[in-house]
Amino acid sequence: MSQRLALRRDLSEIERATIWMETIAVQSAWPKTLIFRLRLCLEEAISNVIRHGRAEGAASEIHVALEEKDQRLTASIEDEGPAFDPTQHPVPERASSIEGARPGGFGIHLMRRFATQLAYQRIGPRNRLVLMFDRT
Amino acid sequence: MEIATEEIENGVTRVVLDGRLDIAGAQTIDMRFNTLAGSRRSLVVDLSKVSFLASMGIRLLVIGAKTVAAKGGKIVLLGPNEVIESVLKTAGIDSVIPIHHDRANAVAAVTL
Repeated sequence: MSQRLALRRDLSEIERATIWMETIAVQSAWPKTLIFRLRLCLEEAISNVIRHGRAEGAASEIHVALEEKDQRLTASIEDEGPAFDPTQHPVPERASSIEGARPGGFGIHLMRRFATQLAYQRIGPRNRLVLMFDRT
Repeated sequence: MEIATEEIENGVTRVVLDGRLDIAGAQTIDMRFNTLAGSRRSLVVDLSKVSFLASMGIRLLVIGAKTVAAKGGKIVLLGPNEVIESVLKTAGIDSVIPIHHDRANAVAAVTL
């Protein structure tokens, strides 16, 4: 199974990506927990790409692909934004009180925890983030 | 995403969130949730009907909890399902907003 989707750089497109993914998930009979993990990681990855913006003169579309092979699901997200490697992002510090807690900065940490593996490549003008999930 | 409130014993307000607390869900209830956080001192946020949580939903909960704490109030989370709780714990939210699974304990924890 291999499917592709192109998204505009708009947060409302995340909803479209979710519906697209869930349709494939139902057809492929993926377990509920896997769908939750994938949905969480796609939302965090796509919203990060939108927030980081795109380079001058670069293509504005974000390309998402889903592939299933040998009990392993791979989601890739490609965009022509400024180079950004989430795998090198530091783990956020744990706050000890609500006064000291930061409201944001959890997205990449959640992806690390809920995907089985994360990989990043810079290919010419493109960022390519690959999220891998074991089906079990 | 829906939000409902119930005034329960000892001046405690139970806020029931129902649906997916994703970007769209968080935007839908943002103003109502912040208004509640700004006007109540004892809040139990019931997450038992929340089926999805991502970082924008966590942001909503943390900002609300900061508002409650800033005026000397108390806030707890009640009844998240297993996967929602694992998202909260991964983000370290359980260290700053207590998570309860028993309603009576949750109410007792926020009673001033």
